[in-house]
Amino acid sequence: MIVRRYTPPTCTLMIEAQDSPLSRWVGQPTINALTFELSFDDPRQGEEHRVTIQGDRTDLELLLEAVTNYVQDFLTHQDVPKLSAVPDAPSRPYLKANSLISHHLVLGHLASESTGQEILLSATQLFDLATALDSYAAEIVALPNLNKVDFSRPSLWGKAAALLVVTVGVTATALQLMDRSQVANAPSPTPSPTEQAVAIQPEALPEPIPTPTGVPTPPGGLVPPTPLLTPAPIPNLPPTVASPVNPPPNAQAGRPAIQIPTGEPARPPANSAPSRIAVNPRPVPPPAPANRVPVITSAPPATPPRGGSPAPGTASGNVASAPPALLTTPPPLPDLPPIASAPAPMSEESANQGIAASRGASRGDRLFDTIPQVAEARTLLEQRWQPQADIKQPLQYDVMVNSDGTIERIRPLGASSAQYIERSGLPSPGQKFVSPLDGERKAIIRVLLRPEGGVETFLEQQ
Amino acid sequence: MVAPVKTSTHNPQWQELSQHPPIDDPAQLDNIKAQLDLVLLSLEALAGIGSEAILQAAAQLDLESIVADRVSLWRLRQSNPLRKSQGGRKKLDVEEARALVLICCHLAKEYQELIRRAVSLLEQLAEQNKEPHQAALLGDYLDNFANTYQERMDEEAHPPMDEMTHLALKLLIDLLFYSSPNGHRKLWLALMDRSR
Repeated sequence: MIVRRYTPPTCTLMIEAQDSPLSRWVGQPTINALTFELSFDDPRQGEEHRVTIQGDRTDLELLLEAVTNYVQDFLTHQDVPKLSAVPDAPSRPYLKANSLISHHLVLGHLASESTGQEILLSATQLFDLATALDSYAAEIVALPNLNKVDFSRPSLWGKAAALLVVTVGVTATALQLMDRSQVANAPSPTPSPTEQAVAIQPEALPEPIPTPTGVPTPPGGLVPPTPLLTPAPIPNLPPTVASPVNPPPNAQAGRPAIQIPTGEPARPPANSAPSRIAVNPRPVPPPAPANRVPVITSAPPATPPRGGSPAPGTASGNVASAPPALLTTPPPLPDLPPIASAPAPMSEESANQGIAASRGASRGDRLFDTIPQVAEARTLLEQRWQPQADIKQPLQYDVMVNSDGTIERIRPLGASSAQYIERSGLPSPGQKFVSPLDGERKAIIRVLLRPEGGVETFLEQQ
Repeated sequence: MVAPVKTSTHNPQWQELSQHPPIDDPAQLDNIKAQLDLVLLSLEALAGIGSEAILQAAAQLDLESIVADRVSLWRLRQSNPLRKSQGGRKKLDVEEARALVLICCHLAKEYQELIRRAVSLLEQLAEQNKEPHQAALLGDYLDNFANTYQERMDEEAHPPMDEMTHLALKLLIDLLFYSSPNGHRKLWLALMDRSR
């Protein structure tokens, strides 16, 4: 059991999650079934004002998104009363301004009888809430959630679905190689491939989660920064069975809670990545035996997939929704059944980071086009992307580009980005996107598409 | 075409901001200059931060190649189009804007306790239906802000006093958010969005 506590002066955010067996393979803490408890416990207020809300990872990320976007709006606008970011879905939490120093947190489906529908937050309470959520976001990296797998309609998301199956397979192999006594639950009867794939939990993710990269280690940071691991091909998967358990609702007695006081922020170490804890969204069912799965292609495009037919319509590119840090090089594994497609929304990257550029940015050279391919990507997409009346938030994608300028994979950031990817104008994995990169390097280009029109691109990583 | 890079800083926050799209609209750049000057003004008015502290921050952030001395700093701040013109207004370029963002947030972090105390006082007084001037810390802040603003800015840019107070208090609360670990990102994005 992993427990984290973020304790700014006026609130306490406690995270509980279960260790996943994947931790052994990805080389960093990997967690399952996160739950949280957020207490507003301002010592300046009486006990009667103490309010606690609870939820799961999705709820927490909805809250994180709402607070981050609201704070950014607050900082952007001089006239506070105009602020009120009412979400598309009425059950989502959101904030609205009362005055410079008074804000309403509307809880949506997080409300309960004890909390009421709204919580009034002062400026310092809002700041503390944002700080706690930012600290959480800096630590926790989520594994991809997949919507329900649709076998009837293969699309470029087939690889993403296969990734989750690969994850299942890696888990199964880990358990096969480890002592059986370490498996918490007995495996359930092996389902058919179809049942298995559909049973992989669907959980629509919210809009881009502002989990910034490069965020400094949280104050009193728990673990030293670890380098992100690069992905490697996973050709085969085991036929054996594994079933991570559902976590108990509360932390086990005796487990130490790790406090992270959010007083003085730590100075970020130079050129270091924050340590990350990967989150498995839910327990996954066991894979079927003796079947095949498309390879998650993170190898160079020239390497053909091994062990199974790739999803139709895709070349060697891959749509992956796991951050590179979660994939290492496992031992050779047996095959799994081919999986068709599903969107793989990813809620990981910072919306703040993504929503960066001016609305009316002109074409042509820009000072931040650190490699020419960034401008090329923007030019291409400006010709393809049209204003969208039914899309409310910017769409964001991390596009990993091979050294030859083709797309290796596309990672949508947030549910909307995944949902509307086919409108984005982005070429499919394997197709040419930009001119070849210098040397043999790859690049990750962040693409931001504004619903009212306008395209921004910048280099995330090379 | 990639613009020439003036600084060879290894500051990771600098590297992060460098990856954001550039600013090529002069009007947008003007808005950014004005806003950055105001953020620094609010820090001066609250904490008495002078050019020495700003230059020290630049050194600590490995940004001396951009803000090397008082003259450079003065020129950067004079680029604010709201300032009383003394002829030959310097153009603030993107790297300088980035540097000022990092400096502002660095100073906000250093003075976070003071900023928080001021905002908490504001909340208490509002709860008691009292004017902010009734607390010495806030009263001094508002007076310093107004006096310095009027001294430096072109008279055409002087707002009425109640707007000046609102501006000063809004900047004070903004400083609290800029004092957070990723405050530099918040400030940069606010500058981008505000200037559109």
